[in-house]
Parts: sequence; C-alpha cells; structure tokens
Amino acid sequence: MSESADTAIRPGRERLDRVAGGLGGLGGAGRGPLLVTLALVVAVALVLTIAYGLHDVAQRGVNGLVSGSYFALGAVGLTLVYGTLRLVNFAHGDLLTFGAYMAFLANVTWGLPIVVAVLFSVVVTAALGVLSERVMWRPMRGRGAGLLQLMLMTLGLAFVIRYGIQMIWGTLPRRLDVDVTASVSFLGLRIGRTELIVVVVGFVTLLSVGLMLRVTSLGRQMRALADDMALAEVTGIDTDRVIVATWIFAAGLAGLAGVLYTAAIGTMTPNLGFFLLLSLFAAVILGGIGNAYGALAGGLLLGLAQEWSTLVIDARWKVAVGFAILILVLIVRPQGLFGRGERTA
Amino acid sequence: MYAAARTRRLLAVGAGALVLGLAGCGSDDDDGGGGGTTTTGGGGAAQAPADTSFELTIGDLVPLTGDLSPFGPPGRKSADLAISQIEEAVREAGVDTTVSIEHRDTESSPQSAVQAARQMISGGAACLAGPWASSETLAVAESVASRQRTPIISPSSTDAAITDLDDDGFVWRTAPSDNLQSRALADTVERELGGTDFTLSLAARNDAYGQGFIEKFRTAWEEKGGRTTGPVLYDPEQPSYNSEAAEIVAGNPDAYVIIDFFETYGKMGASLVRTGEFDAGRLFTADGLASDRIPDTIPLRALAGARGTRPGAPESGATVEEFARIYRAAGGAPRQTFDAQHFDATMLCYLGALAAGSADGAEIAEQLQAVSGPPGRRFTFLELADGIRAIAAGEEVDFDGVTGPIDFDDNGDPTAATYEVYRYGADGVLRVERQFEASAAER
Repeated sequence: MSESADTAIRPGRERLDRVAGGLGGLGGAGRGPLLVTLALVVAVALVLTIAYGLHDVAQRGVNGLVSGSYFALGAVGLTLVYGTLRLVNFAHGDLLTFGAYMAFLANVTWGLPIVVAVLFSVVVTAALGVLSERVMWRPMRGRGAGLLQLMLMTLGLAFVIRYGIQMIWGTLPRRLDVDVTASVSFLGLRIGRTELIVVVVGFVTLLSVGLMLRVTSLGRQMRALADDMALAEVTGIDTDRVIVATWIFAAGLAGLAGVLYTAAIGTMTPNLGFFLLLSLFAAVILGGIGNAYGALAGGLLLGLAQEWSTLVIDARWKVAVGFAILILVLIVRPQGLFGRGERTA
Repeated sequence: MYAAARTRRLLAVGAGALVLGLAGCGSDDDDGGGGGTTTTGGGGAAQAPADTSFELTIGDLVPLTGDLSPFGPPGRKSADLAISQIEEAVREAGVDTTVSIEHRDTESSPQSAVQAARQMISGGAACLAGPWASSETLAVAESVASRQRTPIISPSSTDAAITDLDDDGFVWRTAPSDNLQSRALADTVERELGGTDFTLSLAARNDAYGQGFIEKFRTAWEEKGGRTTGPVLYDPEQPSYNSEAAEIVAGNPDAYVIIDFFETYGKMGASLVRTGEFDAGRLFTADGLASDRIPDTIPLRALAGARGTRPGAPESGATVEEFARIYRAAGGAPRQTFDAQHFDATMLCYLGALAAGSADGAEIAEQLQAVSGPPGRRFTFLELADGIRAIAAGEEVDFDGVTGPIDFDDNGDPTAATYEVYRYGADGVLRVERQFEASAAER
C-alpha cells in the first residue's frame, strides 16, 4: 500500500525501492503490519495492566525491552548476511561469542578500558567476518555451491570458532571488568546501568543501520545486491566491495552484540552465542527475513512476549511462549511481520 | 587416535579374558558361600577366601568442564589419592590385585556423561566412581548402569529421585539424598532465624537438582509451620532473569532460599542485586553454591553474607585429618565439597571388587552393601591393608569412609550424613560455622 505512495512521491527511485524494499526497511511491506502489531501490543499491555497493575506490567516491559534489544542487536547481522548473500549463517552466534572473548582479551587480560575493548572486539570480529568471506564464501560462490553445502559450512565454522575458544580459554565462565549490579530507577522502574547502555546503543545502532541502507549509496547498492546479484553486477556495482562491506557490518555488529550482551548479563562461556542463536533466528524470521527494522521489531516482540508472560504463567515456560508467538505470527503472515510476500507478477 | 582407542580395547578384551579364566576357577566356592544375591551381608557369613588376583579398572567420571567444573579437578585428585592408597595397601597386604583408574570428563552434561560411561565400560572399566550431577547420574543409571551391569557410585548426586530408581542395585552414592539435606536446611533456617513464623521466598534452577530440592524443602518448612512463596523455577540458559528476580524479592520476604549452581547464579545474582531490594544476608542456599570463596563471576553482593548447608566430612578424627594431610601433601587442586565423598566412592569400587574376587561389574555390585556396613569388622582407609587381608581371608567387614560410616541402605544411599552450616563473609570467603549429624532414621 505504501508502495503506491512511494511511487507517487518519488517516481525516480521507484524501481530500486520496489525491488530492494525488503532489506531497506518498511518499504516492501508498508505500514499496515506495523500498525496492527503496535495495536496488538498495546491491547495486550492494557489487558495485563488491568489484571496485574501498571507497575508490574511496566517493569516487565522494561525487562522485555532489555532482552529484546539483546535479540535485535544480535539478529541484525544475521539478517544482513541472509538478505544480501542468501547465506543462512549458523556461525553468527559464535561470532557473538568471539566478540565477547576478544573484549575479554583486551579488557581483562590486557587491562584496557571497556570502551577500547568494545572497539577492539568490533574490529577483530569484523576482520574475522571478512576473512571467512575471502577464504570460504567467495570461493564457494564462485563454484556455485548449493544452499545446503553453504549452510553446513556455516555450521562447521560455528563449531571451529566455539571449540577454538574453548581450547584457549576453557569452559569456565568469565566476566568483563564491568559493574553489572548498578541500576538506575525512574518513575519507580529499575533497569541495570549496563542494560540501559545496551538498550540505547542497540536502538541507535539498529536505526543507523536502517538509515544507512535507505539513504547512503552503499546501502542502495546492498539492497540492489539483495534483490538480484547478477543484475546488480551488470549495472556496474562493484559487488565484491559491497559484499565485503556487508561482512564488515554484519560481523562487526555481531562482535558488538556479543560484548554488550556479556557486559549486561555478567558472565560468558563458549556456549553464549550458540544458546542465543535460536532466539536470533526467531527475531529475524518474526520481523521478516532480510529486514533490518524487522530484526529490531522481531527482537523486541520476542523479549516483550517472554517477559510479560511471566506475569501470567510460571517463568520457566517463558521461552516456549516466545516461540509460540513466532509460530502464530508465521501462520498469519508466513513472510514475517515486515517481509515481502511472494510476488507472482 | 582411533588406532590407539582400538588397541586399548583389544588390551581390555585380553585382560577381561584373563580375569574370566581366573574367576572361573574360584566361582564354585563363591556361589556356595555368598548366596549370590544383593541382600545384606548377613547371609554371607562363611565367605570363602576371595580370589585376589584380578585386574580392576575403575572409571572416574568427573565434571572437568561445564557448570560443575569447580568440582572436577578436586574430584579427579581425590580418586587418584584413593588409588595410590589402595596400591600401597595392596602391596602391604600381599594380594596380587592390579588396580588402575581412567578419568573422563562428563562436561556436566547428561549426554556426555552417558557417552563417557559407555566408552569407559567398553574400555574395560568394571565400576564407575561418579558421575557428579544428579541429572548425569539419572541419565547414566537409566541408559548404562543396569543395562551394562556395571555399578556407579556417585559422590555428589543428592537428588531424592535417585533413591527410588529401579536400578537392579547398580546405582549407589556416598552423598546423602536431598531428602536428608532439604530437611537439614529447613532445620538450619529455623535455628538461624530463631523460629518458623516466617515467610520464605523460594527459587531454584529448573533441573533435577534445583526442582527436587526446593520442593522437598518447601514440604519440610511447611510441616514446621512456616510459610513460603514461589518457588520461582528458572531455565538455566536464559540471558536475563530480571522478571524472575523481581518475583523472588516481591513482598519483602523474611528470607530467600535459592538452590542453584554458580554458572547460572552469576546471571541470577546480578539480576537480584539490580532489583535494589535484595539482601544476601537473608539468603539461604545449599551445596551447589558452596566453594572456598565466591568465584569472581558472581557479584559479591549477591552472595556475601549468605548461609547454607553442604554435606561435610566429620570435623575431627584420625581419618579426616589423615585425608586432609595427604590431600594437602599431594599439591594441586584445593579442597572442595564432595572431594572426600569421591575418595570413598573410589575406595568402595575396589573393596567391592575385592570382596567379589573379580572385576565383573555385577559381582562388584552384589558386594557393595556388605562391605560398606555392618556386620563385620570395622576399618577405615587408615587400616586399609588390614581390611584387605580380612576380605581376602573371607571375613566380613564394614568399611567406614572419610565422610562417615556410609552403611549403604537397600536403595544404595548412605544412612547417615554429616552436614556443615557455612556462611560467606563480607570478603567472600566461606567459613564453616558448625556441623551436625542428620540420619535417615529420623524421618
């Protein structure tokens, strides 16, 4: 529906936006699903407030926002790589783990301040992403490897990273030099200080990525690639450069997510990313595969659903609630909340 | 690596054949005297002299990695100490048993524990000391122990469900059941708070240990007339526990009882402190969160000042002191909860085999109850050589462990246990405040 609006306002960009709307944001799906989702969330919040009181619902909402931004921040790289390269990257969770351990190396082993450690970990994880592209994915694409082979290779890479980390740091839990117990309160709601930082950084990062995809020339090229790599190449886009840029963003964001996640929850083990991976996939699929804003919305929805459910049912079942909602949404909208439907035209 | 494993297996088969041949010679006499059933030692009065020339491999299942990794290295060291004590005593007593031990990491995971147990049994192990986590023991009990007719003796699985397992007498433990510890903790809370007219907020990790323990505790506390809220049970793999923590501190309870392991409590503890209402001085917990000092992955304010119970060894006595001495002298890993229980478990594997006169799992299992309890001549590891001579001469014996008299009951549980009440100081160091005896007979 908004497509017609786009066409009317900016006819010049119409084609690119239409074909690549998925990666860019809400262009492909329009604002209908967003409004419906928002309305549903507000309705659920109202019902819960009547039943359990405003304070509890708001506090659980804040908690949901926190875990939602963990999911969203981790998911955006996953969705970028899938959107651009059609690669289902099972190693993405372990890129998060890798990022967390790089920060541990810089922050605890070398004693650098946490901010420097975060930058270091983002850079090194991005480098690992680019390395995997050069060593594995580009040659494989060149040989026309099938989806299954690529998927199995990402699974293999996941194990190599995870056990490599175990080999060096062992399986004992580690922590960063961060105060995880400090908290701030406003209007009677409490949120951990590092959690607040994660939420803010998460939102800012995701909105910037969305904007970058929409307005910058690199973003438009990425979207063009996402739609049809061969066609993009023909139109003169340096696909190799764009793909490397995609990996820098995806892996760098994974590293960032890994550090922030660890800083907020307090401890890390080599299984950190692996246990998170399923939730990341859920956020991606819920929001619409290949959609950066979708990952944000999907992550938040998953977090809110899980935390609000603890008001109604036993907390140990909250994971099941999150995934039940995923199934429900997919039954109604198989392409995810903001994904594009299959086109027949 | 593959070739090496195969060679080992071949060797083991060879050794097994040798043992079978030797055991065959003496088996007629054994059947005549021992009766061949699991019933108490009472029936086996006129045991024929045991055949002592066998090769026994004890499998040591320890959690070197994962949730229980702080317990792994001390456990492995205790098993090694038991073996060196046995070897020394074997020489002194002049019997020709050869004992060896093989260690394997269970990764604190039921699947890995089952795999490790299978590998060790196929590698020739006839008795397993371990595994440690209750979830591991339940898994190994179900899918390995009775099927492959090999006894397991867990030093630390305290889950009450292990008592009622239909295990054909192959599952044993030197740690007391949580039935016992949950009541001991309820007694401790009552004594520390000075009564039972209090509301306790209960929480536990959602697994066999946490859930089993907290339910038993709730029953014990409510029988005393106390009140409870919860229990809040939480999935150990979740990223954040803010909502769960809010539920635990809601309503300002008089005290909290939280049953957890360190790996999860790092996250849960941080969430609890962030609520701004949590006071670790009002927290009671159990053996899962007991360590020499609070690990640095746990926020200090989440645990400093907390009190708890854990199975201990009797504080004084020659056995305890000698164990502490040899443990210190060996260097390496520091003392840890359940180290002495693991020492006793390894010891019992050997004594069972000696009484059976064979390295056959089923025959070892038949002797474990008899050698652990009365009737018979009592001895500890200090008189191990005498004990070995007595068993070799066909006498009845009653082995007393470092951790207490053991005296396995018909379910394979020790009938009495010592508990320690500990408290973490503001500096994060664990101090044992007192000890008491809890006995299954009390119930």
